[in-house]
Amino acid sequence: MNKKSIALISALLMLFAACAGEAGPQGEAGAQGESGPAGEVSDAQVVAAVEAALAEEEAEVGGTIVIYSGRKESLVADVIAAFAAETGVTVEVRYAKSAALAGTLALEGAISPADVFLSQDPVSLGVVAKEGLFDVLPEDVLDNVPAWAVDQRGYWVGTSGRSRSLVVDTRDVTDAELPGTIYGLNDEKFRGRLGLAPSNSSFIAMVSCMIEQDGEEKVAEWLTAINGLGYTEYPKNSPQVAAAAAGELDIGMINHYYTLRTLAEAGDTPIKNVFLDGGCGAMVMPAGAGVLSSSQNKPAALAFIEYLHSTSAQEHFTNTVYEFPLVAGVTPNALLPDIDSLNSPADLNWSALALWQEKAVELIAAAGF
Amino acid sequence: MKIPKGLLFSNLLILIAFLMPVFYMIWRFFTFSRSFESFFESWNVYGLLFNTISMFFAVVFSSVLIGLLISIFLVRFDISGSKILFTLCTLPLVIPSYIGALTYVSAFSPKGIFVQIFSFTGLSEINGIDGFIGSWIVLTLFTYPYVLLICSSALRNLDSTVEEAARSLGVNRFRIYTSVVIPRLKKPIIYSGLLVGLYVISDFGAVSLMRYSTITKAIYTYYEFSLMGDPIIFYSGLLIFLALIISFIQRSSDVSRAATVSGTPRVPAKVELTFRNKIFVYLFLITVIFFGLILPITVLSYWLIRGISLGNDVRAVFGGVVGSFTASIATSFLAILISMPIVIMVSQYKSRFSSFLEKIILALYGLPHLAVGVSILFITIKIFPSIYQSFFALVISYLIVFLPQAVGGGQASMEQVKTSYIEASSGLGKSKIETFRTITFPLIYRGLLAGGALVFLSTMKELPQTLLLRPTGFNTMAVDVWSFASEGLFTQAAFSAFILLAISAIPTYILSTRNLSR
Repeated sequence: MNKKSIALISALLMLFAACAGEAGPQGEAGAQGESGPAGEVSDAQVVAAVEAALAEEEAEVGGTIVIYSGRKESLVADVIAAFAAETGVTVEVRYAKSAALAGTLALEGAISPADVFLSQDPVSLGVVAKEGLFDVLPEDVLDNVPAWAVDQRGYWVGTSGRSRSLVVDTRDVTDAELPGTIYGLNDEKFRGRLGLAPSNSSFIAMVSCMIEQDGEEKVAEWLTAINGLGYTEYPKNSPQVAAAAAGELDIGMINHYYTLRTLAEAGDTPIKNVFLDGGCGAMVMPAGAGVLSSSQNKPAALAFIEYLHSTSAQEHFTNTVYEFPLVAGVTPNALLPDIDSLNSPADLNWSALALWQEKAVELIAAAGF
Repeated sequence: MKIPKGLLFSNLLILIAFLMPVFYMIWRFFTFSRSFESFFESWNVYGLLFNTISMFFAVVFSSVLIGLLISIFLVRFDISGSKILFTLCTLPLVIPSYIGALTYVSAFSPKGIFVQIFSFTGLSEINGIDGFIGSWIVLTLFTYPYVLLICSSALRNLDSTVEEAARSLGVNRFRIYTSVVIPRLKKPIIYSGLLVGLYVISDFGAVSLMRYSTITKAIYTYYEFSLMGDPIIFYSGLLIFLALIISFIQRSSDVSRAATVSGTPRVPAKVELTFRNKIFVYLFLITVIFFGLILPITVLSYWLIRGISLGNDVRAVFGGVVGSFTASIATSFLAILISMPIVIMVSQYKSRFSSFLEKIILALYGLPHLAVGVSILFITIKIFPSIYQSFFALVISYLIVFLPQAVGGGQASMEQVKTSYIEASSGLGKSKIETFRTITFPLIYRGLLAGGALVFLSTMKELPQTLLLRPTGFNTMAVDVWSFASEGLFTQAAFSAFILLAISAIPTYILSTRNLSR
């Protein structure tokens, strides 16, 4: 090996070392210290360092974070804007479905530009946790909410609660004909009267729960039967509520809050939520968030999650979105039922459900949805 | 003539870069973690294939029927106002299928506009138009103009000697069409029919809004479910495969060689129609124009006015307008730039490589946008993470499918640049660059600009690639229309849809007629 190539290789190694140093969280300070020859610190550098220190004291966080939001823009944009205004953090948001973003994050791995994943369902969060892409959150953040609404290993934390429910058109549906569990919807009397959103993340979460609780075979049978009954497909939950209100749909499988929002806007709309007596059709689940290990701005990412637990954010979730607040001391909106009166399956293990997500998607597809 | 090294090199580079989505798919197909059969067993592949292919045949059949009938009526019969009728019949071409579907879905939903208008008759609910029927209607209405443009131009150039001979032998007028005229139009019919077919199997917006399960809808559904590699790649690969077959058959029935005659074609005298038949023809034309043009525009106007009266914020569409223009300008500029070496090579240095290059570039036109988008998405994540979710990657993806339009524009004008001009110039001692600057470029820039304008408009309307690849915070009018319409928020979708149509209507019409009837 000649001298030239040795020099080239060592130069490359040095460059590599420098890059690696910069990528690490502690590396930055070290790299800055080494940047000039020892003893030669310019005035400008001193001023910059002092300014940086002062800025850190005023607000602990800054810079930019990218949020992958599986929650709709109309539901969270205000909260995000308030966070940005209060902290001075620049926030970029990529909106898509929770399951799609979970899949995207799994595919991106370490190159992900995202700092925070905000999901409408625990199963999508579980998929990201399963891939080992989340940092464990600090105890005090996890302790903000009840134990049922956090990941058992601490990778993500709930930010609000929602329940699966049926939206029914009260002009065409009587209470007596409704079943006690989701399996009861497989009945001739519901032929052509059902609506669902097969690609909705909460629907997939419900099917994952059903596989966990009742076994693959029973779920596959149910899905095929529902498809055979004839159903109306919707891209998401809100249009089902609108269709029920317009009299176009009798029964839609949704999350509870769109019905309440519609009723809050026009109380005489002839629709209502029906909460089932038990099983996964009555599942209460958290929407939540986690900080990605690949984040370059973890302090701001964590600050955002803490902000979601603030009283103002929790009040937004319950009074504007009509979800269950999760932080103690925030009063649930009056339209909400008592969360303890709902019959969600006890002790659901969210990370166990996440293992079924792929199977759930496969069963939904195989049933012909 | 020997090909300059620089030209060869740059074209090879373009070729490799542009074939990457296809290469990537092939590579993924060979490295699936599961057996090929398992897809067919557990992923409803047969059902989706059946739906896609039956839609293909249904729309091709109806589009050819409508397009051919209008061509014959307007070219061969004495219809007053035929010019304006022709223009009106081609205009549905400017309506992207997802906007067309939006208008039909919202007008004919079970309690939609149609029911509201006719509620005085006691009508309270209809079976909404969706699924197979809805997709069929919408795709037919917005693709038959391709058949009309291509077949009417072929019909104009068709020599009438054979027809007149048949007529003098006493063959009745109907038989003349079925056994003389239409068989001689076989090539343009197949060509335009398959063009429609390519559009159908690649279409994503209309079938999604109509909730009809085709392969494209499955791809997008899996994208939304989660990007669990295998199924989404499998369906995208399957779709590319289907498109390449159709594209190959289409290319082999080259329309320019169809129905040619030696010398100038004899133009037959326009046939006078009886009053009764004339009424029938007018009724037919007006029905088509009503459903293809008047109804969609009226429905959009209705939503627009309702949106304004509800006080929707017009400024909400601003970001989409800026995004659409930025993307379209960047893409068309780059398309012109990249098409130049290809055009020069194909027209000036005829060789086996150049005809191969031409074939490949033309085949790119048929690639389904959604499948290309999926491929670029995976390539950028797995191989080029530095451009992942970047504006640059989005533009590359647009260029792959729209470059053929720029090449087509350049090629048409390049035919004016005779090899002898170049030889004369180099004989006079001019350098290659100077020859290009003083001779080639002035002759081809108009054609390049026309091609670029076509790319501009296509980019403006593009939907599926934008949905998959757009950078965080980047928005286009097409995305706005789509996301509002898929949520049923028609008043909000109408703003962007209207601007999009207004911008593309006139130039699309001019360009598509010129381009397709060439």
